[in-house]
Amino acid sequence: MSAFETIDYATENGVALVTLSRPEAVNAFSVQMRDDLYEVLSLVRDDSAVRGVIFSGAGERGFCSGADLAEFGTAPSQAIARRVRRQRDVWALLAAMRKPSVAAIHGYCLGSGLELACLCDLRVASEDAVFGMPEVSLGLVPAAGGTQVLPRLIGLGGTGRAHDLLLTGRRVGATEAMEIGLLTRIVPRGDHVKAAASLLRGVLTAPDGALHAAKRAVVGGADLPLGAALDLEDRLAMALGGPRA
Amino acid sequence: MAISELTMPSSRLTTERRGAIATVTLGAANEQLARRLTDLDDDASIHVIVIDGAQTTGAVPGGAAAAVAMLVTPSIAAIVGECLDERLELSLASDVRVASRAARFGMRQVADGRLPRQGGTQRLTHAVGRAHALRLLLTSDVIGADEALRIGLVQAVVPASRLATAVAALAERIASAAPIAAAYAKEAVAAGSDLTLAQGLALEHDLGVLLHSTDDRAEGLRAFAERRAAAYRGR
Repeated sequence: MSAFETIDYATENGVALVTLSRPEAVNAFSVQMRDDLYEVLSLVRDDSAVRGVIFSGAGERGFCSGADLAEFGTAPSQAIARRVRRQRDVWALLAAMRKPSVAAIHGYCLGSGLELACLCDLRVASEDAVFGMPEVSLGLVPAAGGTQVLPRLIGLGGTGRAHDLLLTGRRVGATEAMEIGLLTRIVPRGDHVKAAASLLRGVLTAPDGALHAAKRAVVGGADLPLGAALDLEDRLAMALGGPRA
Repeated sequence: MAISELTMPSSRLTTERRGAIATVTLGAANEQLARRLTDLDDDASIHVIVIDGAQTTGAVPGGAAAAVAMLVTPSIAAIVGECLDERLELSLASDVRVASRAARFGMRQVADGRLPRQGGTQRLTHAVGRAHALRLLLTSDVIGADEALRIGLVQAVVPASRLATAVAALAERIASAAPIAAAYAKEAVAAGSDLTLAQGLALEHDLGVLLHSTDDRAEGLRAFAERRAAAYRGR
C-alpha cells in the first residue's frame, strides 16, 4: 500500500510505477501532490533496485487535468511562493533523472500534466487522450517547462507548433499529438500502462550505464554548441569503455 | 530597427482593426512598416497582429522580418500564393503560420548567387531543422503547402476560400487569452530557445512570479472559479 496521500507508488521487476491518484479531481496537480511527488522522485532516484519509472493517472477520466486552480493565490506572498518552488523543485528533479522514464497517458493531459509528460523520456498514449496548455487563456503562464521543454520537444527548435498550443490553448487529440512529435506511441484505449511497461522493458534490456550515458548526451548536448556536444558524447562513450578506433 | 533601413518608397500599407486584432496588409515595399508595427505593439488594446500576405505584391522591405520578430504581441502570418525568398523570411518571423492549400514555399537566393538577408538561414533552420533547411537553401526547391505542413514550416493548411476564416478563428482564440500572459509565454519561448534548459526554466519561473502582480491573473482565476468567460484588461 502506498504511503502517499495523492500518489500510489509501487515497484515491480525493477520498474517504479508512479500513479497520480486524485481521480475525483482528474488527478489535478495540488500542493500535496507536489510534495508527494518530490519524495517519490527522490525514492526513484536513490533506490538502486529501480531501473526505470512509469507515470500514469488513476481513474477513468485522465492522466492529469493540470494544476489545481483552487489552490492558486493561497501562498502568503509571491516571494515565499518563489522560494518554496525552488526548494521543492519536482520538475528539476524529473529533468535531472538518470533513469529512463515513460508517461502512460489516457484521457485529459492538460497544463502541468502535459508538462510532466514532456519531462519524461517517452510518451505512450491511449487513443482517447486529449492534450492542451490552457494556462495563457486563464491569465497564467506555464510554470513547469511548458514554454521550455514543450518547444524543445515539438518545435524542431522553432516555435510555430509550440505557439499554436501555448497561445491558443486549443486541445489536440492523440493523432495530432503523434503528428507533431509529442508522442512515442498510440495504443487502444485502456492499454496505455501495459504498452508503457512493454516499451520500458525493451529499453531496460540495455545496460544502465549505456542508458544513462545516452540520456546525458542527448539532454546535456542540447544545451551545448555542436562541437562541445560531440566532445561530451566522446567522453561518455570512452567512460563506458568498449573498442575505440 | 531604424526606420531609415526601410528605404523603398511608401505605398499600400493598410491596417485593419477588429476588436483586439490588427491585420497588417503589406502592399508594395513600405517605409512605414516598422513604425506601424511598433505603434500596434504599443497599443494595449491590440492582442494579436496578423501579417496578411493575401494582398502582398512587390519586394519585402529590408528589416521587415526583424520588425515582425521584435513584436511583443503574438503574430500570425496568413500565407496565400507564392511565399518565396524574402516573403518566406518575413513569414518565418511570425509566431504561427497558416497557409492556403495553393501556397508554395522556397528560399531560392543561393540559386542567384545571393544569401538570405532577413534571417532566412537562421529562422528556417529553427523552424524545420537543419536537414530540411539545407535542402531548401541549397537546391532552391519550391515545395507545396502539404509538405510545408509536414516539415513544420506552417502550422495549418486550409483551402484558399477558408484562409481568412481560419486565420480569424486562430486570432480570436489568441486574442481571448490574457494579453500579458500571452506576451510572457511568447517571450519565454523565444528567449528560451537561446538559453540552456536550466536558464530557460528559471526565466519561465520568474515571468510566472512576475505575472502574479497583474490584475488579469486574478481575474482569470476568478472567472474559472465562477465558470464564466474572463474579462482581461491587459493590466
